Amino acid sequence: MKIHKFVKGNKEKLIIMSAMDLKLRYQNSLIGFLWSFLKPMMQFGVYYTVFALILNLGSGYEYALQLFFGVIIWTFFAESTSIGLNSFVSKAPIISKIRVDKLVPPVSAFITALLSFCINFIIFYMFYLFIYTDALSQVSLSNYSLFMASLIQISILIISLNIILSFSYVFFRDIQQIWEIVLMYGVFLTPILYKIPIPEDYQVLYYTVNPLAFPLENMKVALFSDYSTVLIYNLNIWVAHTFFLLILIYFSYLVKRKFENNIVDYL
Amino acid sequence: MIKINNVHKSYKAYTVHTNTFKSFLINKKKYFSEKRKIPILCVINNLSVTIQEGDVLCVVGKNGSGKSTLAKLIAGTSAPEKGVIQITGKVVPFLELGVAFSNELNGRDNALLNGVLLGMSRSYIEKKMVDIFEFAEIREFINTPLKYYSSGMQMRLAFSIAMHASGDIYIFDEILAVGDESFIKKCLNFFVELLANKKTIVFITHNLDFVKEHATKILYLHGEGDYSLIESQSEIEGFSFEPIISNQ
Repeated sequence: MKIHKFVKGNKEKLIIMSAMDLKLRYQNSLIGFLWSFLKPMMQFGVYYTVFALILNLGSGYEYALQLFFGVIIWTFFAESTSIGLNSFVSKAPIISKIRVDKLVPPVSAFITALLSFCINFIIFYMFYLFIYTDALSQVSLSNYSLFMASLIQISILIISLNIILSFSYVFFRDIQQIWEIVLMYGVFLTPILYKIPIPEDYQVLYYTVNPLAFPLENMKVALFSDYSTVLIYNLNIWVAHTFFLLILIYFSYLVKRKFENNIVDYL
Repeated sequence: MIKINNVHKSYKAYTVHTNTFKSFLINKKKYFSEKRKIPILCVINNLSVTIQEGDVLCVVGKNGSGKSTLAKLIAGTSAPEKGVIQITGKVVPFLELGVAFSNELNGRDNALLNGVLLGMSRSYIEKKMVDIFEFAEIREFINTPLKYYSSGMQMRLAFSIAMHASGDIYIFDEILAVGDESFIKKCLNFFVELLANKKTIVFITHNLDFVKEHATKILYLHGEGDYSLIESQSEIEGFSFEPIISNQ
């Protein structure tokens, strides 16, 4: 009910702020929005060269597509949280002079990155349809539902993190350095570049501690026919992951409730 | 209507050395004992005032006495530590003009962004876009990036956007008129229109003539949370800033 009220009351602010932020990022650049696709494409090129061609950890079109998909999901996560972390500090004049719901800046940071992700995903999907032979047979209601459920899980994760990080960053500026390190290691600890062989006994722990890994794996299951489906039938992981997300939502709610009234005094 | 009831607001005065996260890790006990030594600066203490519809409350006081803090509290950007502020009606804050302006965006996008943040709907701003730029006397610069505007043009645009956000309560923090002489006249006309339409106005100012001419109430902040409220017309007419000077 409260979420509905927030969205209804702030819909236009969220859309305009996100759209303007996105516009600002590529304003005055020669190729504009194309950068939002070119950057993950270049990143993919580097990873493919190192992990497929040099280290031989994967090969073929399917690995390339899985790697590319992993890179755009990671870019979405890293970009959202990096902009989100800075959302109060970078908008300090607005927050301190105009009454804005304190959820608007971290959520609009998420929407800005979501818009970039949508552009990237459309381009990825065109490649996918063109290259992947089983692409059309993967289109089903169950796969669509699994994909959307995973995207919702990632969105909840990002929004909750954005709230916690953005409020914390106002008080502790070390957060930015710490988060950059988390992102630096995170790309290697998430199944993006290679499949991480997690022993069965530790799967629940791993997919709970790394909450991005589970939805990412499930999205790949929805997209690629021969991707291991072991995880989606593991009820323990579903329960543990959902429980972790609920704790994160509750913690972000507590952070917001504690600091929303006095954050302006510290900006 | 604005009803301020027993409101209290204070800040930490970081006039002493503050400890770092490193010192917290090394000696937690000392960190907290040092933290407790940071003096607290009481800005607003037990303030109660009711501003009726159509009232013009002029807030006066020396620098640092809490005028802008009060404006932020009424605008809702900051919250009181104690007490309640009840507001009936839509608040339009003129605390600082063009806070959401971005130099890289053009005039139209900036009007849209600032307008939406001030509570206007997107369709309303689109409808009023030409009026906003015409009032600001920069109709031909609507698609020009803001970085090519002069500071006067930016101020006029910011004022024009804010004045199109029709509200019930207007808060002016020493901003009433901007730009050149003819634009100042337009701003003053807008203010006169607000008075005629019985809008509630909170005005932070140092201008004695303005106070005497328009105030229906004066809230005089003496500093450290001390205040006096002047409500009778004869006292308002006889009000002078001398006590402020003697306080400095």
